[in-house]
Amino acid sequence: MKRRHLRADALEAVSGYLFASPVILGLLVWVIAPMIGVLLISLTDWNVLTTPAWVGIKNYVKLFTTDLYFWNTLKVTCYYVVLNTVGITLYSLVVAMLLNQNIRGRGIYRTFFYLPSIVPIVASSALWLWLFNPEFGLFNMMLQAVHLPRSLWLQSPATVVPSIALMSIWQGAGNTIVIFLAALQGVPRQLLEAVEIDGGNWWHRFRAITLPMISPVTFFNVITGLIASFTIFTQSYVMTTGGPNNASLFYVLLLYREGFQRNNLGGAAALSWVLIVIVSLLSVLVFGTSRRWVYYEGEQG
Amino acid sequence: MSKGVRYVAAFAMLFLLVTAATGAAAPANIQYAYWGDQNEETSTLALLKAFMDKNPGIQVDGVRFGTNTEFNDKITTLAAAGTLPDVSVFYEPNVLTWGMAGKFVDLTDFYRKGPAKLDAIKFITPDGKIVGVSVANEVQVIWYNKKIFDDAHLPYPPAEASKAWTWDQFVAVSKKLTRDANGKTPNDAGFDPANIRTFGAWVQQWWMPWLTFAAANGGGLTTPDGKKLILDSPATIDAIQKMADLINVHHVSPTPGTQQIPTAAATALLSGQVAMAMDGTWDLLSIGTTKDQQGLDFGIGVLPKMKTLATTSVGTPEVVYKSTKNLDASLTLLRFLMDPNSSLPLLQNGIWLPNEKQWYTDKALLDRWIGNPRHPPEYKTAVVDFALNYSHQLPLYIVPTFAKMDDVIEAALGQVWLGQKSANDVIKNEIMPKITPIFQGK
Repeated sequence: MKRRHLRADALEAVSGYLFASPVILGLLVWVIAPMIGVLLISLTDWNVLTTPAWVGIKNYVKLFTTDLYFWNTLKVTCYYVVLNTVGITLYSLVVAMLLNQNIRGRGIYRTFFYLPSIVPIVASSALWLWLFNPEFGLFNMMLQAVHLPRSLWLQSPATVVPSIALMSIWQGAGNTIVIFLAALQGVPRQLLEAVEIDGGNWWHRFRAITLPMISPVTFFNVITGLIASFTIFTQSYVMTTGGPNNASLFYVLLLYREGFQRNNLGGAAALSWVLIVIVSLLSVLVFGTSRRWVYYEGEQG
Repeated sequence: MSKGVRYVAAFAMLFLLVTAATGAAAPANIQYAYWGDQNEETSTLALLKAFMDKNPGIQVDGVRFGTNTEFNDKITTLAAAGTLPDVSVFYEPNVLTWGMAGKFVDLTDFYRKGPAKLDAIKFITPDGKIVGVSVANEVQVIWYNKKIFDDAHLPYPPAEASKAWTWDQFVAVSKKLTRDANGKTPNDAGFDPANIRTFGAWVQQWWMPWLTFAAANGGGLTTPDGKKLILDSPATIDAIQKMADLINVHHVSPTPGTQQIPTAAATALLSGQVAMAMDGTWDLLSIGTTKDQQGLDFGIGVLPKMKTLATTSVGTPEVVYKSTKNLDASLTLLRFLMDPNSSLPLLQNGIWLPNEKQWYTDKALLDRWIGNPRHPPEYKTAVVDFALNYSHQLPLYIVPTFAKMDDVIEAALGQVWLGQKSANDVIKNEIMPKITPIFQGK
């Protein structure tokens, strides 16, 4: 081997990094750098129009002590996150299991359930505004037809978050269903048959085989669902603008309002960093519990 | 020096000489930003073209930034990037914040020299600078469907300020006009407030209506000079409670939530969903079109009195940015845009009222904008005189913290409109403790 040439593995490493460089550069320039920028802005009092004044952690202190909206928005957002994450996971699993049956027109049904995912959220929000209309919306008509009390849906502080979650589940379940479906098809037939031979019914099959076998995918869906739910914005921006009485003033909506409508960039930047920390902590928490309920084939059971 | 370089240098010298000799050969290039839909884009570009035809030395590029909130996002970003336009419309709640940050040209002298603009629509910073004036004046009035009044054998709402209803008269008439599914009014036994087919008076819940009645009752958010908070004054609380009572006590106005709030006055009047609607004068375009196309027989009246008679004015302002490199050209454009002659089509189709006093008093000028079938006969007294003589300035124009306070107020007042809490309770216990520090700038 001549010394002038790089060793083969070094060469491989260089070309590897070169190939990955667009992504790394993209991450640095478009994600890491702005995050640091936002961190710096969060330590200033800046209204875009004047030069930023360094205020240290004052924006953070204000959030946790005197801010008028912070605790409320956190409560409202967490409520939504729980409803939406649990809702999407359960709904998607049930639908995926139904779609996994050997039925006629299976492809059509699969398309059907996936379809909402490709509708722009703004468009479906406008559509659901009609469905939720307390006076002549479809939902209240259905309730009335079966003699149930009508709901105010988006217009009452008590029902606005569940209503938005309902819409988000319908809209957001498409991808989750597809992923669950793929996982269900990967459940080994011989294991299911083994349960049958042992005299187990569908519940035994589901509980003992299916659920553990798809648990890595469930885990993935929960984590991504959790993160996505925290950033809910469009639905309340379009349908409720945070109302009634701030009952749907979600975190990112407040962040947007502070930053872009009220020119409080420092406060909005602090909100962003608090959100990053909250979401990271929650993710770590879920990862921490995963060892107890996520089963990877090939691991020691 | 090579031959080529010499030619270029000579040419450049020649060019300089020619431009110097002809004065402003290169036109001043300025940028005008605005919001609106496709129709507004078409009309704005036509307006800018008319300006350029008159002022060949000025080249204006019109750029549209979506809706008014999108405009605000965009202009904020441009401010951060240091690439603001020269002249633009501006998102009303933020005018004073920007003005105080020194982003706008101080227009105090500019407006002192030109024809007098209406005082109620001047944006004035706490240190007394005029940083913008609304291009149009829009006040609150009463719109009504004549047929519903005729069927109930009731006289139309007064169109003259001197004959304005008292609040009690207004409530009494509204009750006679309100009908449930069985045709009963709130005065009849067995009236069903859950199934109202026609509401006597639709009064909306956003800031303009309640600030209007608060002003009529001698209250408001702040004192007229914007220096002191008076939201918790008995006059303001009383006015807001009276409005909430329209919904929850008298059942003459739609409840937010329980009943479908009409989407627009024109359709609500046409369908008989409401007999009267308190709303802005901008409705004349849609209501007038509904008359032309679907035969809506409508009328306009002045608002009811409380302690006094009052209405309020709003309108989108035009501003000039301090960062402009062509101040003269920008001010020339501003003068043109602010001239009611330039907005004549919008004055004539009913959506705007002019921003200058003489257009309300001078017979010849008045004829130019209300002398057409779009403006009904009572428009002169119910709108023109009413707007000129009874309009109050809204806090938006003089209180820089208005938008931040309104975030708190609007959310909390929701409970009053729903009848869950009294105005007194919500204002004193929930709103004042929160908005006082905002108002004081803490």
